[in-house]
Amino acid sequence: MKGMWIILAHEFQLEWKQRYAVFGLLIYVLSTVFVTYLAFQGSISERAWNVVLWIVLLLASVNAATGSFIRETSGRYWLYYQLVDPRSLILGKTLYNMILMWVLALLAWACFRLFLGDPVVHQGLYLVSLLLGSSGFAATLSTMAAISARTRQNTALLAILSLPILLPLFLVTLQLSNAAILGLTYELWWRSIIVIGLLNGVTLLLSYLLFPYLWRD
Amino acid sequence: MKWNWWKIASMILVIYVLIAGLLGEVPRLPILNETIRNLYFHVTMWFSMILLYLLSLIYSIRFLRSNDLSHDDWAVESAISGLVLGALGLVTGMLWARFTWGAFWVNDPKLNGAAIAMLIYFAYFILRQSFDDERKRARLSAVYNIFAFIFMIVFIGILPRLTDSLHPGNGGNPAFSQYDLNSEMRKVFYPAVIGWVLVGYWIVSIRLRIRRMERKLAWKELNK
Repeated sequence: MKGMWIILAHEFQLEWKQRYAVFGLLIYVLSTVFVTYLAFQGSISERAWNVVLWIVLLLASVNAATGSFIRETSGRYWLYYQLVDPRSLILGKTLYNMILMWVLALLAWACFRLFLGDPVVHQGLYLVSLLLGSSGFAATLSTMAAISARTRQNTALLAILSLPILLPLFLVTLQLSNAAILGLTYELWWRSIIVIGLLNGVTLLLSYLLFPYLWRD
Repeated sequence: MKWNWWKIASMILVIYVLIAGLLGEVPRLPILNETIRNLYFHVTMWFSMILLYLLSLIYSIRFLRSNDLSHDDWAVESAISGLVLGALGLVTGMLWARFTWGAFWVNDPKLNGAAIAMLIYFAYFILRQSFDDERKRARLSAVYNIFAFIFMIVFIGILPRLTDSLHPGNGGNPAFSQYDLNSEMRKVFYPAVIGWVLVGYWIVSIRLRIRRMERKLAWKELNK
């Protein structure tokens, strides 16, 4: 557990040294939202608002995760990371990616509200769906990034590996956030929250159990 | 040569299913009419696909524990024959959909689940192609295979139950089980499941033998 916090702090320090990477992601979100805004000419249905927001987020998350194991597979860092327990490594990385994806999600949400209006009735629930959904993205993408970083052609592979696996989560979060937009009553969405929680739990557990096999050589 | 009774059994079963499935007596039901016979092919092929993927999962876990490459061969070959049965199940399902729902593809959670299940395993094979080192490939793809199986089950088993589906057995549509309890149909259904599983297993065993031979040949080349 202590190793996890060390990894997390280390990630933040490294990321601060290479600020342009994070700023790049923020610009990515901004420009995709702006493209959406221009493409829809400002008028967009509630359903499309939600779907496009989530697609922007999904692609931004894949982009954000792509870099997360690049450093470690070569050179000096490879040696350092062999000294840490692999389980705390994956937990630390997942936590870092989660925070990063929360930031991206909140930014995308804010931009959508600014440019494309705000159809959401139940704001709190929408926030919950954003946080839960992007946590799940982070959990899956961190593990898949660890796999794809070890292959020859690693950039396209992450999307191929993770998109089909992310789809169940993606569809259920869409349902939940749609419920938030329509302001549906409690009985109609509590099941989605439980399913998302279970999916995230299963992903975290699997990556915690299987990561040592990904990591040793 | 070893006496492989199960190969003969699988052939007899499949031939029996083809004949009895196409000519046997089936209940006359509105809309479904004769397409109910697809139960013997579509449903049973999907059963066998899941069993073969399960075999693949078991061998992936065994590989992670043993680090023995022959377990990896088992995992990949059973995934390949699972994918073949899955594709056949998808095609038979599409034909059935054309005659009962009027289109080859309708937007339905079960159908989309089927398509995604195939995509996940395609990703597994693409992942396998992107390593140079045999052991690294075996280990990392075993890990992915475990994810693949669990999320395939989520996709075809759990998600469709949360939403309404046109598929028999969902959302108030009559399930096959309501009328396949008819003992005539059972006489074909269960042999069909066993038959397809055995044929799938047969394909796996042949392909495994080819793999072993190739490995031996490559080894000989190296030591020349």
